[in-house]
Amino acid sequence: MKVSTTWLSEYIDLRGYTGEELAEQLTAHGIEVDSVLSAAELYGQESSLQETEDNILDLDLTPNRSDCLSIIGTAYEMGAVLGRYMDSNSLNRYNVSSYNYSPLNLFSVNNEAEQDCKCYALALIENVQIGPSPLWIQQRLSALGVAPVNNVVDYANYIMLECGQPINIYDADQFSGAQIQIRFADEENIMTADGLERTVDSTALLISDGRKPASIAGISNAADYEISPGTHRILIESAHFSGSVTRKTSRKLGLRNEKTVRFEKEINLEMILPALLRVSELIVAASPGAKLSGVSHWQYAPIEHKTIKVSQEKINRYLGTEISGEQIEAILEYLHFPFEIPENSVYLISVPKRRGDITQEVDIIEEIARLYGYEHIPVSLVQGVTTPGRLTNEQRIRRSIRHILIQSGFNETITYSLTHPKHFNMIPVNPLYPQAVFLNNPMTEDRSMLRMSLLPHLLETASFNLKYGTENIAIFEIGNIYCSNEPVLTQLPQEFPCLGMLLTGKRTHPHWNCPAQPVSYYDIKGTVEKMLNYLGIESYSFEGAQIQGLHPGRTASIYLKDNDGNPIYVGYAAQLHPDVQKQYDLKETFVLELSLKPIYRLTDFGISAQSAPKYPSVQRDIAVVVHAHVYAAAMIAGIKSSAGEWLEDVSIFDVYSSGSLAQTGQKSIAFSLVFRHPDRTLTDDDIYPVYERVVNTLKEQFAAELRQ
Amino acid sequence: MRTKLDELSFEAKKAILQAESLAELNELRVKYFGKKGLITEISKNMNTLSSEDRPIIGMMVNSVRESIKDQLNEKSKEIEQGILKEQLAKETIDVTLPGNPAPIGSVHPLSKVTQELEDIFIGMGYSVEEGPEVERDYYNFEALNLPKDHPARDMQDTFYITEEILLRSHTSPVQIRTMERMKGQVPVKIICPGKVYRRDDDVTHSHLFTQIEGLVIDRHIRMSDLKGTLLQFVQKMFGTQTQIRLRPSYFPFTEPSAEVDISCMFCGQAGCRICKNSGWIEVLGSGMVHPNVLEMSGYDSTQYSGFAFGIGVERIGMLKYGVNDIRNFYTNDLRLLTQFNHI
Repeated sequence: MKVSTTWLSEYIDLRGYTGEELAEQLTAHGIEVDSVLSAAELYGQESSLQETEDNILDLDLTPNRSDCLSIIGTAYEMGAVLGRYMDSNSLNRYNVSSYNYSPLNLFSVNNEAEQDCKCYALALIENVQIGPSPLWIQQRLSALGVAPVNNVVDYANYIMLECGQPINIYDADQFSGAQIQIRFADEENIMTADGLERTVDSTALLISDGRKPASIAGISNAADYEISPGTHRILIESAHFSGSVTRKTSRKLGLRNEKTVRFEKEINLEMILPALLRVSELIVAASPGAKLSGVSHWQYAPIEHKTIKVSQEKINRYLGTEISGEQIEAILEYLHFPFEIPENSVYLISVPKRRGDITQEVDIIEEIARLYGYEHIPVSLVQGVTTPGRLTNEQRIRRSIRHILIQSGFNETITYSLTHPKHFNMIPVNPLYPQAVFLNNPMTEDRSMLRMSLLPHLLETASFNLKYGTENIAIFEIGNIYCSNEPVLTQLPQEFPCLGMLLTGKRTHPHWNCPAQPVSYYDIKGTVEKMLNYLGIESYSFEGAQIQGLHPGRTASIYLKDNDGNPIYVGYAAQLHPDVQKQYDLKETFVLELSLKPIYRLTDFGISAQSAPKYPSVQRDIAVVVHAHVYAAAMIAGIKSSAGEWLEDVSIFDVYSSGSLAQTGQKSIAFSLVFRHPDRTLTDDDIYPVYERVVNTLKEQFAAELRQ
Repeated sequence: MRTKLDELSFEAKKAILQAESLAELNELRVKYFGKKGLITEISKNMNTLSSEDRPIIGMMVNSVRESIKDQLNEKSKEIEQGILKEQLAKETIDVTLPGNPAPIGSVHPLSKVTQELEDIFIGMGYSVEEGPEVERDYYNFEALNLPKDHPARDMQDTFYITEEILLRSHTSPVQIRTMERMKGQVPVKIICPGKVYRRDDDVTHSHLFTQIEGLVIDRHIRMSDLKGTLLQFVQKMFGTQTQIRLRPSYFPFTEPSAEVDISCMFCGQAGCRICKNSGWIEVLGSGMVHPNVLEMSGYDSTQYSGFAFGIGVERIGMLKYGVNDIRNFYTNDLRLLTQFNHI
């Protein structure tokens, strides 16, 4: 909303303040002023136009302050802020008793929507001569951003800007009957004033003349009913149309204008008749020979007068202030809020109808607070019991994961949750929740659904960075994926917190002492093993798997063991399938995705310390040749099951499969076993039978041959 | 005999002094103390001496032996040290060559800011609560004093999935869920960090951004407490010289509501590009919890009051780290991200 200080000055004394100072005052007390434009800036330095002292303030109004969508409303606010009273003489322009008029007998009204049209008023003017309006009106409108049209429409707009009441004008000769109907539409086609054919549904309110709609209430006239240069009789409409109906219809039709903005936020019912009388008077005065033939006003719901009780004690207790009774009274007086003091320090306030935003005690407290000045509210600390601040376990674990991955050389990324459906042709999704969640009102197809995997945006991030010259990429993201088992949501979808990782390029930059080795599957596996160990999770396993979008020979499903011993699938580690690599312009790329909920559940924060062993350990190595497809994890399991309780650790220190072994599809694999007895030193005699047992197990279970 | 001993001692010491290697010293050791060594021989022949001379000569022989031995040991130490020194000199490396790589990654700036904010509020006694990003209209709007068709819904253009399910446009629904769970118990003292979504994308807006909202409910919470809490927070975040300014504003879920500015730390309020010459930078929105919000979630507004605030994490990150475009947080350009690799 733009306001002119000259225009405001008709209602409130602004002397002593520059435009900038007024803007500062308004902003400090709750009406933000976006810009101040002087008349010189507006019209040019050489202007001979009359209102050269003018300043145009552009108000950035919050939705609750629709009372300031008018010069008078803003004047009231200025008075409250500056501590000045309104000019009562000027306000008489909107006093019904200032006007003499006869009732309009030509039209009657049948209102079928009394809830959404609580008040309706019409005036009929005859003998109008359509022409340009006086220059000063045109200037005032232009300064506030409203284009001048003619001596009828300009006054309608002028009154709307001045008092906030939208005024609509029909060519009265277009009305076919005397019965005006206010009703909801019935899937009708209307050509609106802009010349477009529009269809309205049963939520739209229409003003009809009995034959056809004359307007969509508060939004636009039907084209036929607009005034034209030849119009001689005009019907002026000043009415209430409810905010919700106006809002719905104006949205559906894509028709928003100065009128709908005001109706949407609920207008002041008390202003309907005075605005009509004042606009009629002005139009008659500006059009020689014109005559007001009558004014009628239909009130369908009583205007409720609201009173609110608030005590000085409550105000100060709520704000933490010590505002005096005199200060409160002064604020209320400059707000022009009539009040009584029924008992000591208690105020019974009658809320003016123009302030529809004020409905309860706290609204009054806010008025007092903002006009008293937030800068005068003291600073205090919350009293009462102290509370221990804390993170939840999940948040602690997430921080630990982030920490360990960063320590391992991975860079954290945060990518968009909204994505393009195309990604999921080639990327694994959760089979239990296969339904994607699509937006009803996306901005673009690129951001039209919620991601079902962290992978696509990690791939895009890698691709983006490669393009900009970063060749070694180690990234991760912790974030939610979203999916459902309902094609159309009735419940909230699943949100699974996940960890995604991606690795491509070399482990390090070229270095004089360390060759820059390409990354491998085992780098990403090693990092996640380190992470799981760090979280105190020991029971996990990697098993060869075939998953869409991933290399069929280089993919593992990852399982954790639940507390009852059952394996839970938590995700995968893999090399990307070459087809997918190509799709995202990547080279050999390794990826991992883990569901974090089971990890949160199985993380072990407890450490139960054992004393350091008293007796030395004994180490034995076993090297065997097996078929190339035998899994190391299975062999380790075999060793663990056969080696007995003294086995402390088993590791693999060599894997070899070239030369003759490769030709026969075999590999050599060497294990190092560490044994220890808690109460004595183990001897060769102790170890020999254990060693034999392990070797036999490897022979029997995996057809292993012992290497000499 | 005495002269002979003196000569022997003199010869030995001279030889030891001239020796250059441990091998030479060994030869000398054998020459004097071996089975047929010169000192050994003299000791063997002691019984040929008279009983008067024997003790005297004996003492002299012992003294010469000890002194030669000492000298041998000393010389041997000296040579060993020389050898070590030489070896160490040979082992010299270029200690200025780059060390072996121990790669470190980087934390995303939004995580860094979020953790810092969380830690500040945890230190002030707040718990950290989270909730779903896909929310019901009720929790995102209705329970926050924003019934359907409320004009203020225009303030937040929202992504909808169905009529009733949407992407949360702020983390306030977590406050509502927490209040419901607390069933009227006080004190409530929480912060709610998380991703939020608005149908908005330009230089200053991203359709995804991160918020941390805070909520305190107890008996007799005052607006001055809100002011004090925010002052404490900004001073911990931006330094103790930071001041705040509250400006009246409007949010449907708080009343009175305030936009909060902090004194510009870039120019010391002298006026600069970042504060648009005003000396103040807008950083968050806040207010006293609207009584309707308290009532809808089971708190008697005549008994309890509260305050709430909402912080844009990206905004804080831009101020704190000089990131100049909100969208840079989501581009994930490693040339930017890897700068966040240290404390």
